[in-house]
Amino acid sequence: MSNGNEMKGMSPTKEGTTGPSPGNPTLTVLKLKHKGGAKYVRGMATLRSPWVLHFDTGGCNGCPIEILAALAPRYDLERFGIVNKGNPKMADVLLVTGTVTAGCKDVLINLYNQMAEPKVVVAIGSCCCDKGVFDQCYNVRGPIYKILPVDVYVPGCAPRPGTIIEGVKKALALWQAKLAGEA
Amino acid sequence: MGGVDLMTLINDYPNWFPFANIIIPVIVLILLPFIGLLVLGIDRKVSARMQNRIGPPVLQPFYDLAKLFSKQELYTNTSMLVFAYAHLGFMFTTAIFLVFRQDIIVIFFTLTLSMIFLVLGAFSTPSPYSYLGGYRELIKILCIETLFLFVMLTLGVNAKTFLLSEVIDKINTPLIIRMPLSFVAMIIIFLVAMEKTPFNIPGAHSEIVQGPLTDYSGRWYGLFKLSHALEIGILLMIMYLFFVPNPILGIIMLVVSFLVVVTIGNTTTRTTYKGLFKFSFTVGIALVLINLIAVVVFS
Amino acid sequence: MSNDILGLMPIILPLVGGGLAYIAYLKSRNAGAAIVVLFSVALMIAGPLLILQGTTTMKMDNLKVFGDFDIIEVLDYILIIGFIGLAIGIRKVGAPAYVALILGVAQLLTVLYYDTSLKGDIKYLPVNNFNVDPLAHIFLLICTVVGGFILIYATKYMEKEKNPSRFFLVMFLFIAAMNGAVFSDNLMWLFFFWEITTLCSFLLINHDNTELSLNNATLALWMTLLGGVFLIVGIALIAINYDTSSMVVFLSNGALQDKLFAAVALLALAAFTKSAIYPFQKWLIGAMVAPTPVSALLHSATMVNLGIYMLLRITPTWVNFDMFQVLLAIAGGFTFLFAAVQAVAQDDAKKMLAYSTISNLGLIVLAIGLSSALGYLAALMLLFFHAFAKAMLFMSVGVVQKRIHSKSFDDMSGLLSRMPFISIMIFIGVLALMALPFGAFVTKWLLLEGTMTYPVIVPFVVFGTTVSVFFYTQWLGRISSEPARKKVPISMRYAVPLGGLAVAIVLSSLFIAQMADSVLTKALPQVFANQGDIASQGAYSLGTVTGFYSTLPLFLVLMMTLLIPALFLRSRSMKKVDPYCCGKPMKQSFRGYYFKDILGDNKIDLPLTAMALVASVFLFIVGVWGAWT
Repeated sequence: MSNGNEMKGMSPTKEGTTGPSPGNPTLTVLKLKHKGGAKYVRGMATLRSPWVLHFDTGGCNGCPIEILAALAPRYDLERFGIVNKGNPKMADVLLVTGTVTAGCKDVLINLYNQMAEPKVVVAIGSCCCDKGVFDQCYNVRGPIYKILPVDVYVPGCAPRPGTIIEGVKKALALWQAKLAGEA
Repeated sequence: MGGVDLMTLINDYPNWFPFANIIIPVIVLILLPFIGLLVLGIDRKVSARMQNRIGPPVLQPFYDLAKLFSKQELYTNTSMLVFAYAHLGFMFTTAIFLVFRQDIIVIFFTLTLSMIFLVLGAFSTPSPYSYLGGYRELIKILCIETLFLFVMLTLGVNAKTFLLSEVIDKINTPLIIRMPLSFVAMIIIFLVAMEKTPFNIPGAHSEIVQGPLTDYSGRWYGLFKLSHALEIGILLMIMYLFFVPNPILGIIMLVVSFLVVVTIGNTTTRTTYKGLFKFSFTVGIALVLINLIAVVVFS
Repeated sequence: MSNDILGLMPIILPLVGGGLAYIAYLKSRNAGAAIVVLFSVALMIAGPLLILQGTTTMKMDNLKVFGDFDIIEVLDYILIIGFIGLAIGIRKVGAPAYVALILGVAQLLTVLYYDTSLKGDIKYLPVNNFNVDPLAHIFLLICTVVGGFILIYATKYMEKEKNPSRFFLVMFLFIAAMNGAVFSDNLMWLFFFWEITTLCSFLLINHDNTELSLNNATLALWMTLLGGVFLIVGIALIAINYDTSSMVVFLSNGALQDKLFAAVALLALAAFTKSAIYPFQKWLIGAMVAPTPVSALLHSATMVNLGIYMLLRITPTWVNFDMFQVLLAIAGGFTFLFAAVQAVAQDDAKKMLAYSTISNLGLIVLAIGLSSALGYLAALMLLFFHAFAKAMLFMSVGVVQKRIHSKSFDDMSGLLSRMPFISIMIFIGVLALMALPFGAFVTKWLLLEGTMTYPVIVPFVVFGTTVSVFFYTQWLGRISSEPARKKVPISMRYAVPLGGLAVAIVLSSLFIAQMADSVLTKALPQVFANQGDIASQGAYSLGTVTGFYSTLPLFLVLMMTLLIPALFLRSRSMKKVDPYCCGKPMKQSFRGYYFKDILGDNKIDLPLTAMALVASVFLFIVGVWGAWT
């Protein structure tokens, strides 16, 4: 798919990653093995403060509007402690929308590398999950699972705020597991 | 006012039990960041309710801190980390001097030095956003610390001494009666310290991302949040101790000033740095200067 | 006799050293540098030795030539005629040269009048022409220690510059003259040494002999010659009304309250010109075209302190004259505040340091104007710390300029990684001037404590303090910013003077209580001797009637939170990432905010100078008039 402009920056995805498919649903919610103890308490505390970075890599802007609607007072994601920090260094969850265009591929990898572990990536919208309506366009460098290791896919065009929240919930469970597993 | 008896009681605390004059200040010192974090949490909840939504739980800042301290550590250069330590260290020193009742002017200068290290931390990171945030923070320091120093001076001139222990001794009537304009200036300072519009020019989220702290993450950002909470605690303690030391009326005063600050924050938009400058050097300086002159003339 | 020789060492050593250095530099640069280093070290030993000896007096009344003429007076005539000749020689500069010519002629006429009419009537000649008392000790310490370090630094700095022989001759001559001026009890001798420093300043500013340096040197010349005119007319008035040419006798007449106050007002105005107080500040800004050792020595640490010396000396004369004190304090406060405001708009490092020097000198004048033990001690402390810290800052800027060939702040990014030693020196110097727990903070603390009794100074001190935080912090931020560069080595002849000054600053800040007790309190004039406003409480703490300040805890905090992390923080377990620039790679570096459209020199210089000129005329009139009524 290279179009002459060779992009800098190595993609963090492992070789041979495949995207979502009907037979391979999104990840199930994991349950923590231990209950109690300092790690559990810390896990429960940190679960209540996931900070989000939203990045749109080029699309019709429908999914970002739905994401912003999710953050607005009606759905009020802030009651879960979710804050939209614009800064990858302070973010835990990376919400990606849009197909990964040529201009955004390096930026996306740069932003992902600037995030601190543990982190989760949520791909929102059909364009993100597997190129969607922009399949075959000349400047599309996706699908995203070839560029970043994605944890949760939220399909839809555009997915409703409720669906987005469901996807973020699954991402948070995975994030909590990463926290407990790592520490 | 029932403040007189309480004040003598409070001043007698070294006699409550052995080593009380060390243990009680240490307890207050440990409580200060907790109070600050709690106030920040209540602020988010009240703001959310004002915006007709539910908002995060009141203990949210504690959860934020717990999360920040369990993240991987990232850095761009080592000097930014050193400045983070220095900022927290001097904020802590300010709190120590405050609870152990040292000289007011020394307290002010330690607070300013802590702010200076914040600005240096902002400049030492290479992001253009932290660079802009550093300059805005510097302008904010210029405006607000001037007002704060005037308030401190008025306090000292009123009590004819700058030692906190003696100032508290000499408070017979709550200072809000003798220094009402300085109290209004303290509310302005509190508003800026809580990073509320219209004067939250350094932390201008939609303009310059995180402002001075753009490149800080994880544990280091947690240190800054902790010292911010400490700063809030210090300001609240100053407002309580001097202006209305009564437990009931003082808490009411704090709640009222808090609500005033939150209301102003939720109903205004951000000004420019020139707006802050003009405001503090016209309205702010007028308030504190008139009060200072009145205290000098009527003493 | 041995007292005399040690007492004269601070004057003889530089003269001999200057001459030998001149000859040595004509032979080879290395020989010259060796001579300069040798005599600098000797000077740095001789000065403190003399201080340890205590108050020294030297009669020195047997230096006669041509029969009965005092050698100093003969040299004085030669000097003034030299000034006139110089003014004629540089007439291509235009109007300033002619002003200098007129002022030189005025001086000549006054000195002639003094020698012919007044000198015969003088009843009280100086008992000792040189009187090295504790106040002079402070200036001696600064001049020899800081001067010695600067000279060692200058040997490396002037390695590739032209005309080093003349440079070092004039620098040594200046140090000798400075020491002579603070030693002098004889007012005419003081005037002579004062004018020698004027001459040295002109020669050193004009070192490069370009058109710009000649113009700036002429500006400095006529402004300081104006001060000389004020001085000699004041001395003449003292001779007329008090029949004395001795400073001690003049001061022992108690607080003056009659028509003699014109003399004091004139001496104060002379001090203003020398110390670059508004409206006489322009020459110091122009003097920054001189090589950096000149800026460090003359224009921050010693020559501008000569005016301060004058004010400190004549303080007892106005202790009962409140109006004059207030005006003096306001003049100092005005300078402190507005020089700081103008410093914000500078992007040239040396100009910013020049404005900062003027600002600090204004603060010292403010402290002197308070006319109390507290103010006097605050002035002495700030004098001491400012001399050391500013010399350090100027020297650091000189080293930086040699490396990056630019004095602009915008080019100093990444200095912390490129020249870490110099950056640390700049940090210590700037913190010493603006932050606690270092010395200059103590002055601000004392002055703010003093607002009890003098509320009028409050706005100046408050605004000036917060504005100075702005431009100092901006510089510190600039040098600690990225991009990181490769480290370059630093020469020993740069590192040793800077390191020595840094150690001196840190130690004297830590032990400021003992320094105040032992050295500074001795320099208080008799009228303040028992006021007991400040006392040291314990080894590390200072207490006033209204406040308390302890250095040790703050130094501990500084060490724990700044020094130890800086030395021992290891980032091995951390991940290094890019800075946040919306995901793009960071390439650009940024220029600073200097607010030149509001605060630039061309906008506010003229209004401020005009305001200050009106105010000083007012000061003079009040000084003379108020004494009448």
